[in-house]
Parts: sequence; structure tokens; C-alpha cells
Amino acid sequence: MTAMQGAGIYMNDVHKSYGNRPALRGLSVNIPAGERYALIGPNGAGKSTTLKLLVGLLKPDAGDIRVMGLEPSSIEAKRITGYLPEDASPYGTLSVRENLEYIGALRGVENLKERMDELLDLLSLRDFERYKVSKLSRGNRQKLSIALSIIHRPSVVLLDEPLNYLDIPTQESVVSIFEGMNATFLVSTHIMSIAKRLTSGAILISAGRNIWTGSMHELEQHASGSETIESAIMRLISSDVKAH
Amino acid sequence: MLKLIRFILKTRFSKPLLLFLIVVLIYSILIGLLTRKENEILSSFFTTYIIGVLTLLMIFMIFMGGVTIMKPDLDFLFTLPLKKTEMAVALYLAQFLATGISFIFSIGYILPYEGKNAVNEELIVSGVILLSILVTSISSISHRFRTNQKAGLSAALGAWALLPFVGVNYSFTSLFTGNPLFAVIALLVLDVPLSIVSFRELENAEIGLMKSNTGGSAIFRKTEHFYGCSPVKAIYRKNLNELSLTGRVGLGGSLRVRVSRVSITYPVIVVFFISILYAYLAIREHHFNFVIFFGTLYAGIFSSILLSQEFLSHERAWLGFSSMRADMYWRHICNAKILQSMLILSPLAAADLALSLMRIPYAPGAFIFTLITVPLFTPVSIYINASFNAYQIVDTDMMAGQQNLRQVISLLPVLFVSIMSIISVLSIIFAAITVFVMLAIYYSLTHSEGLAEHLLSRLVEKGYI
Repeated sequence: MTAMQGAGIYMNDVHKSYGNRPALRGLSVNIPAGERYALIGPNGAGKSTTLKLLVGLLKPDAGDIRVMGLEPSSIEAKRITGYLPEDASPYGTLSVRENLEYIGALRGVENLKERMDELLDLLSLRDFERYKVSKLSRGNRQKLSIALSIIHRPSVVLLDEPLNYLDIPTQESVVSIFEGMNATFLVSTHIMSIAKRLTSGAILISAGRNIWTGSMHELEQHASGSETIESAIMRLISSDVKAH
Repeated sequence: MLKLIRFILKTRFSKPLLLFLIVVLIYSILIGLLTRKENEILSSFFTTYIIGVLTLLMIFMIFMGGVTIMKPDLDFLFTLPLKKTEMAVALYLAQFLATGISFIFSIGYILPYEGKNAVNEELIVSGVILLSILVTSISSISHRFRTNQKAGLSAALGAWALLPFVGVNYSFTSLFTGNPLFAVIALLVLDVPLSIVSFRELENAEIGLMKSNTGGSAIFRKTEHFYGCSPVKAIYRKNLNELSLTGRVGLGGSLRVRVSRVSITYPVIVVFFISILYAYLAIREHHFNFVIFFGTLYAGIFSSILLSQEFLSHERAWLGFSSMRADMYWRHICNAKILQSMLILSPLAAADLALSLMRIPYAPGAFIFTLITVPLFTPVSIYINASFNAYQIVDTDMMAGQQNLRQVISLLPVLFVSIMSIISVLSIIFAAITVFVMLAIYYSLTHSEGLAEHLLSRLVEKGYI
């Protein structure tokens, strides 16, 4: 059995540059189907680029990428993948409900009306369903973006800083929505508390390379004595930088 | 003070763009001076043409005007302990570069038709400068007005422009009808109070912007439904039922971004009435048919720029392109835009067809160009803009970012449309050849998986999500 088989998300020796600036330098990731991992790293480590490659918005310069064994830009992969970019902005010329209806129709969601009603209620967007997106607060815009990314009940969910702009009660609602989903998760964040809430594993990347992969529990064990988990991560990243 | 001005200008306009503006300005004035002839007077056609263009530009500024403010200004600049007067001066200069300066360019096109009359020349130059100040002032306060107030102001402006034709010379149009002194007096009378109001507005730019942001309805009048639509049908329904309008004023990019949505019926009705006027004027023209020539050209330019910018400003790669294969989504979007363009221009094409049946010269070529070539060119225009100047509108009511020379490339489609329009109108054979060339380009643009993916990748790499 190859590493690719049984993997929800598989990346092997992936390289991606923006012009002369390398973003990923041989990144390899293997997340078993149904597992939830956090993609942790400092600014500019290549977290967002990784997600954009996995959703097929970008093409790698080299390397192999598979989502549930499928090529990310294929229609089959797009059907099962849900993606939330950082600072996501839905269609500004549509209302909240129209956004959900349009993307639901584009994705061919069955029982769309019921699914929309469910999401509007779960994310407390019912009062804003006729609102123009441009008139929404940043928090409500983020809630709508989350709804749009999971409207088709994806089996692979790629989230970039999903809890940004959300108040604490909404964060709890969103976490429970994600917990109720039977899917492979890759959550990009640099906030450890969010990573711990949403995932059970962690992938540390720095300068476009995978420097550590393991469970959250193993990551916590890296912290010695009174050291925080953030300090332990800093230490892992620093030692990698020194090594390269 | 100078530091602040430098900072404001530098953050809003790139150096190459400013240099480009200076070069164009010098070129325009020099060409104007060099091509003057003795005692030549402005022909009636060019008088009407210049007055029409300048009035339309002013109305455009009223509707789409706004203050040259960016989001970082609200977050950082306005929190600094700066003198309000200095801020107002710096912002006024930026405002002038983004709006008023375009009127100064017209000097080069006016002087050749005014002849070498020294008195008129100085007065005309002064008048044009005063006109550009008036436009700068109006554009910096117009965002405070509601749509009906803007419409009223535009109507008043139109009436003011027509005054010299009924014997009252106190209008800016007197600059072009042989009475520049009256125009200068009228402009001075308006410039003084409006400049004061404009400076006041810029002194309190932050509060003004906040007020305009909180205004307006939070919901759309009409709700669109996509229940039961297949993915492809949803794309066509979204594009053929509605037209999203994006107000972007400024030489190189966007000064202030306004987003609104209208039913597709509205632009069709507007084009219908324009077409009646167009047909009436074309029938009356006896010599070279300027009406068909310019009407067709402007319809082509307007449609291709409007629809390509409409798509790029409002598209969301993470939603649309992530929902289906990139080439499939791109192809259907292009087809929808072609149909949208055909729909909007259909009254004008019908007018051209009617004129052709009446054996009006140039109408058959114009008919083919308007009905087929212009719509087919929309994907090309989208592709060019996506490759060089893809502005995605996320935050409204302020500048999206620094204006730069690269954004001038977005005017490249105008050049192509102009060439195709001229040759199509002049010869029906060339019109037919143009259609075949456009069909070939359309096919190669919309039926290549690699091209669509490359375009998407390029957009995303530039931060278009």
C-alpha cells in the first residue's frame, strides 16, 4: 500500500514559487482520511499557499498533490472539498441568502433549501439573510463565508484562520459545527488555542518545509517544565532554521 | 506640510503613473499649440462633441466621485496628530490628480480649433483650469448626495451646459462657443464657494466617509433565486437577470468604489432611448455619418470595459472557480457575458438594422459590429484585464489601493475596440472578417483547459481570491 492510498490529503515534495520567491520547498504532508490536522507555522511559512494548492486554485511547480486520491483541479475533487480562505469575502453583489443559493446551485447541493435554513440557523444569520454582503459586519461576513465553504457537506475541509473576527459564542457554535462533520480537516492557524480546539494533530511548517508532524499530545510533550506549547513550537522552528 | 503632501501623493499614485500624467499633459498642450491654425473656428460638430464629452465626464464625477481615501488612512493616518487644514490641502491635490486633471488634458484638443487668438487662448486655458477645479470640488463632495440628488444635480449641470444655445453665456460651454470671458466669470462664481465646501469636507474626510458608509439600504429591492438551477443555469441566471455596476473614478484605477445592482431591464431601457436618439441623428446627418461612427465606437468601448470590469471586480475565485473545473466555469462565464452584452446592446443593433434597411451609409457594418463583434470581444477584454489589472472589490467606498501605471493597461481593450469599430463601420467586408477573427479568438480563449487554469493561477498568485 502506497502512502497516497488511504490518505485524505497527500502532498509529496511539493515546490511552489511566486516569481523568484519560493513559497514551498519540497513540502510533504500525509493526513489519513477522517483525521484533523492543524497547519502551524510563522507568517510567510507557506500555510495559505498549501491550502490554495490543495483546492486547485494554484498549480505546483513540482511535486504530487492528491485530495482523497484525486487531482485537486478535477471536478471530482472540487465536489468533495470545502475551502475557506483567510479574510474571505463572499459575492458583494448578492445578499446573504443569494450567496448561499448561488453557491449551493453551482455545487449541485441536494435539498438546498433545507441545507440553507440549517446553516442560517446554526450560524445565527437568519436575521441577515436579505442583507447585502457589503452591509454585513466583518464577523457576520466570516460566518457567511464558513457557511459557503461547507454548504455541500465536503469530506475534505481546508480552513485558513477560520475563527477570525468571530465573537466567543459564535466561535463555540462554529467549533461544534466542525466537530459534527465527518471529514478530513486541515486548519491553517498560528493560534495554538484554535488549533487545539479544532484538531488532534499538527503539522509544523517553516520556510515552505514540513519540520514536524505528530499528534497534539506529542506536540504538548515537547514543552518542558513551565514552557508553553508556543515556546516549544518556536524552539522547533528555530532549530530548523539553524539546521538550514 | 510638504512632507504630508508627498506622503499622500506617494501612497495614492505610483511614481511612474505621475510621470506618465506629466508626459501626457505636456504632450497634449504641445500638440494643441503646434496644430493651431490661423483664424480657424471651432466647427459645430466638434463644439457639440467637446461640450457633450465634458458634460458627461462631469456627470460621471457627480455619480461616481469620492474622496481619495484608503483603508489604511482610516486605520492609521487619521489617528495621527496632523493639522486638518494641511490634510485638506494634501487630499485636495490628490483629488485633483485623480479627477480634475483629466479636464486639463482637453486643452490640447481645444486649442487647435480655437485658432491663434491670443485673448481667447489665455481665457480658454484659465477657463479649463477653473473647470478642472470645479470638477475636483464636486467629486470630493458628491458622495454625500443621495442618488436622486445626484440626478437633480446632473440635470442642472446639463441645463447649465445648454444655456449658451438659448442666448445666456454664463456657462462653461461658452469656452467653446466664442465667449470664454463669460465662462470664466461663471466658473469663478461657482469655484469659490464649492472649493470652500470641498476643503471643509476634506478637513473632516473621515467623518464624511463614515456617514456615507452607513447610508443606503442594507437590502436589495429584488431577490434572486437559484433553487432548482443546475450549476450552469445558475451562472446564466446570475449574469442575465442582473447587472452589477461598479463606480470607479480615477485615471488609472479606482478612486472610490461603489457597488450597486440593477435588473438587466434598466440598461436595456436606457440603451433603447439612446438608440432612438442615435437613429434620429443618423438619419439627419447628410455627409460623413459621425453619429454612426462615434455612437458605434463608444457603445463598443463602454460595453467591453463595463462588462469586463463588472466580472473581475465581483468574482470570487474561492467560490466560483472552486465549485467546478476552472475551464468549465471560465467558458460559461464568458458565454454569459457575451449574451449579457448582446442583450444590453440589442436596441442599438436594432437601430443599426433599421438604418441599414433605410440604406443609411455605414449602418450595416455598425450593425454587425454592435451585435456580434462587441459581445464576442467581452471575453478578450476580461482576459486582458485579468492578466494585467485584476481589481477585486472587497471594501467599498474608498480607494482600493495605490493607482499605478500598470492599471492604464486596462485601457488596452479600448484600442482594439476602436480599431475594429473603425474598420467594421467603413467596410462590411472588414466587419465580416473581424467577426471571424473574433470567433477564432473567442474559441481559443474559452476552450483551453490549460489557459483557464493558467489564468486562475495567475490571478490567485496576485492575491485575487
